[in-house]
Amino acid sequence: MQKSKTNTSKIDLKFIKPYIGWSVVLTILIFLSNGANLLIPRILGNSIDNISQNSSIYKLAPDIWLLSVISIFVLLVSLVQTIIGVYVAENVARDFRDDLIEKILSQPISFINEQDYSELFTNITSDVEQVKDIISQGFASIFSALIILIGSVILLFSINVRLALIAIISLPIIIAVFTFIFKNISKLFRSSQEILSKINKVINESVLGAMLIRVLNAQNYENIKFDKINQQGREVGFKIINLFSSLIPAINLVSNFAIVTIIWFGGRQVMVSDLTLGEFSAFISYFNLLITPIFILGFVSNFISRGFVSLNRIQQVLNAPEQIKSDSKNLINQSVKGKITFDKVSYEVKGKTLLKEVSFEIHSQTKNAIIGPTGSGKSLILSLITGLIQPSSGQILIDDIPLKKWNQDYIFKTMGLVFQESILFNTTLRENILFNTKVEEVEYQKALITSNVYEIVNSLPEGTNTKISERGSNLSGGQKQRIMLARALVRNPKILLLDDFTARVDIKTEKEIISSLANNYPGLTLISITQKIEPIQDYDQIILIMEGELLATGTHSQLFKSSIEYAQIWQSQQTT
Amino acid sequence: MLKFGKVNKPLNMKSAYNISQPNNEKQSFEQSIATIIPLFAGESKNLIIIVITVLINIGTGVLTPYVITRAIDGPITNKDIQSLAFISVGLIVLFIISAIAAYGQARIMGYVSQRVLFRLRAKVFASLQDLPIDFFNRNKAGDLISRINNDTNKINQFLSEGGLRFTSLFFSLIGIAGMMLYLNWQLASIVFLLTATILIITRITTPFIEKINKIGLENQGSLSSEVQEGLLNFNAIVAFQIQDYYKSSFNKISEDVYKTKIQTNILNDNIAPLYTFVANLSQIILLAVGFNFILSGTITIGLLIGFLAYAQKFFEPLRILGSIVGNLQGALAAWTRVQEIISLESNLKVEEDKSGVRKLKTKHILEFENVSFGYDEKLVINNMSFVLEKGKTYALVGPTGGGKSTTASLMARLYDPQQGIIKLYNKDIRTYTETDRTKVTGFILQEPFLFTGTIADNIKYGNPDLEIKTNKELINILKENNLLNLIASFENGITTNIENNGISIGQKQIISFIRVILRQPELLILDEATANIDTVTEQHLQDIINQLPATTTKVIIAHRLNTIKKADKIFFISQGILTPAEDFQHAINLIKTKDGES
Repeated sequence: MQKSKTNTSKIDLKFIKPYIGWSVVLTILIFLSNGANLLIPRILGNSIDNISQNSSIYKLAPDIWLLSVISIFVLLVSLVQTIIGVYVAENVARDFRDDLIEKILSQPISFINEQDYSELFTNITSDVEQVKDIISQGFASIFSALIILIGSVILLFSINVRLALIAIISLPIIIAVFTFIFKNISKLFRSSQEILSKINKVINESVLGAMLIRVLNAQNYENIKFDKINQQGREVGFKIINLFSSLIPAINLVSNFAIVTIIWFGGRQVMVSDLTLGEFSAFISYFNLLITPIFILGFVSNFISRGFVSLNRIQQVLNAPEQIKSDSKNLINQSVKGKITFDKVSYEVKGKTLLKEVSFEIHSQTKNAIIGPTGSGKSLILSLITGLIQPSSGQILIDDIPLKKWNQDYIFKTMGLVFQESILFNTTLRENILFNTKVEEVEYQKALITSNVYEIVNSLPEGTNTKISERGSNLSGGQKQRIMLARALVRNPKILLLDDFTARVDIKTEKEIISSLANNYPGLTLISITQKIEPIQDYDQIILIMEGELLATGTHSQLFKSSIEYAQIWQSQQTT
Repeated sequence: MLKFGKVNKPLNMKSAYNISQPNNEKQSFEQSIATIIPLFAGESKNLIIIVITVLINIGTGVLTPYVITRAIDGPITNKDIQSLAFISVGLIVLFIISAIAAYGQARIMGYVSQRVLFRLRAKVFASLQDLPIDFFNRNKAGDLISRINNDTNKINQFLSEGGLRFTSLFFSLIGIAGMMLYLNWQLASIVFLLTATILIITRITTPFIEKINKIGLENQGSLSSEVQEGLLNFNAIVAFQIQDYYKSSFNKISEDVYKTKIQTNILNDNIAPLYTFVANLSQIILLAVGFNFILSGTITIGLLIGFLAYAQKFFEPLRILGSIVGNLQGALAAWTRVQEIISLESNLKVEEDKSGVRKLKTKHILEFENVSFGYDEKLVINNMSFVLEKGKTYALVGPTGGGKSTTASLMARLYDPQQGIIKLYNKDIRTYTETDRTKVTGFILQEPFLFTGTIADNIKYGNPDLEIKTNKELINILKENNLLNLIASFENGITTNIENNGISIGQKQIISFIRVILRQPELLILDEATANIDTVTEQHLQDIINQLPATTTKVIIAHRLNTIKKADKIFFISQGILTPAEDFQHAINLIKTKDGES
């Protein structure tokens, strides 16, 4: 999957769509709570004017009641507003998380191989949080601030138009300061997020490679590596501060100059009786009210900017082109017999040919082995058979029908694949084998018995319900492989693909498993990548692969006679 | 003869390394602050400057209304343009000073907090490096990553944004409180009473909010782990078509995060409206009481107006403080999680050599003396004793899960046994420094690990002698050691870049081999190192190992008969018990019968 390269700076707000209703309600509530709050100084002012003019006869009680009612109203509305705001924000966050995972899961394997997966990790974790922060804190704060701002400006104009115009000149200047600073800051925020990704990667490898680091005593190397990237983060942080620290003081200075202007011009207006003293005081009070919202706007824009950068990164992933799903109506779902044909299959990655025109035929219900030196491309063949990767040229046929015409999901279900690396999940043993597939108990037992997993079950404290730690670190290599075999077998596959399965399993267990396979899964087509020739001597076909090319195929005795390389391998395994 | 070894640790000790389990020890607020302070070491000069700038700002903040009132009462009323001009200029000067102070304050505080974040991250990462492998096996990678990155970030956000405003607002409050007391202490006490009420409410709810914040962060950590696992195991997810399974597992955690976050945020975000309410309440009460005071002649209307204005200025900072306190609690919760890593110590310390035994280049390079070990309560190694002679090749065989790899890990001091002693060259292995010990012992892991970078980077990794070599020099070294042709299968030789899943396990193992061989270890441990390598290459690697000095002791864990056959001595390990095999045939018999099991 390619990340969408277009629209790197455009923001798509359609994620708000499901919550438009709530957002409107939220907006109204913000308007109400802030508007009502703005009334309070007005009412207080009126009370004071009344008291100062006729204190002895003025009845204060109605004012007190009114003020109390408004205060309680503001409190209740604010509480509801907060709750709604939080719900909307968390829903958006959850949507993003789930959408990202869904998008990633719908991708083929090549996706992860091309992606920097710690980038994805950062996307799902911290980028989502940043975006959520815009909504929960940013949105409400900015909107409140805007209401107070607009309300105060209206009030200013209602007192004296001329003075208001002079005072308002400060606003465009402030906007100019903002824009200038933020244009430069977004670039820095972007690199800040990227560095965060890199930091994640170093930490990641340091944790995953913990054992290696300790046997090599390389902790210091790791510290140096981390130090480098940590310093980069600090440098970007400094640059952001250089810009940012000037923001609030600059805005304050501008508005303070505006106040001096008001005092000068307004004062002169009072002197020529164009303005009353009371109006002059009120004007200054309301102009002061403008300051806090401006602060808030500045303060909050900080992480709104960061949030938009994160939003952009998330949307690049979500908007990546869809994987072309093959036309499902023509797809085959019939029972697989197990014949596999490779017809001049080549596989290229980044210009390098890893498999070159490999052709062979595997007949159903036969036992086949693939043998060859390390790195010759054997594992790729298995991945190609299952369709996890696509050949660059040539054709793969299952039961004489091209693999492309088969329903991909169905093929996965018919094939059992045991990888070389142990891939275990942080859940119980039973779940690691079954996941959430519904399987008959009989099938489950059969799989456990055939792969010799029962012995493991008995050694664990809670049997099949024992939780296996992440990456299976409380199990040995051979045990993990057997669990993975059980996992493959439980699906009752027609074709079983083993990638160097017996490498980590001792000889006795290996012999047991292979004979169990023959007994319990008789109709199975077996393809096994292996290093050892002795156990596979009686296989129906042995395929010899070297440097991406197929050198020879045949039975053991045929190959021994016809292929020098095969003979050499056989020789190297002889116990004299 | 049985010797009872020293008991090093109680056998049923629950590991302190499992930090994802709930912790009984809670850190108090004061303790948290005490541990944060060292991060600010060296910043005292800067902090003083910050305090000065803060005071300047507060001064101008308190002075400005006063000057404006003077302008209204004086020049404007008296129509004195000159004095007005004078005051205006005075104000401009005041404002410029204030702006400079504010800029300096923000910049310095910003720099300070970046440096603190830097130090914090470095400290946590370094603490991680100090911890033994036991720690990593007990905790999820995603959770650790979350703590080092996200949690430190939360702390930093608070320090850089919240922290600064907290201090300046705090001093503002002091100034205004003073003014109010000066004007009328009775009215002031109303304000203080209301303040006290809301502070008490906050303090009561704090532990509850803290707890929820902590759970929230834990869920975030779980989410990280889940994502980590999914991305790492993507191959399996696709191959087994368990996308739905993974998705439902993920959605569950996503839902948990959602639920806790809603709770935490509703609590945190509702603090501010509460403060607004109290502020409004104070205005109402002051108005009512003040009115009565006016009627009884205790105060003037002018004083009431002034008092209301100052009270308004009092609750403004208090209101903002309210929201910052919310962040503080979140930051403290994050700090606790980070502390959990920093406060852990390695349980594999280098011990003082009190025995007085000289390190002898004896015949025995390694000795196990009544060693018992278990990862948890169950013993995996049971009273194991044996001796490794220098220069010999040993093979460890036995059923999977029987204790071979664990024995190897103990040999390399990745763990300490609960009972018994392990001696390297006749000295307790625990008395060796890490550098000395890893110089002697080379270990090829069962599952090879390579870092992002080139093959050359990986070969050089952790080797101080190779660190500074150029690629050309490295190629020569490889040639001299007969290792160069192993790189042939890589397209760009040693400059090939390692990428996700770009190379096979066998190829990774080859690089691991090269890495270790170049270190010339005296004790070489291979944990199923050639399992995934084809037998021809394996033979080649065997030849290379055989080229190591004859004094090199080799310990090989393997399943292939061919590999075992060439060993000088074979140890059969099963269920944690070691049985030396008399000869090759005996070993085969032991393997076949698997300790008498059917």
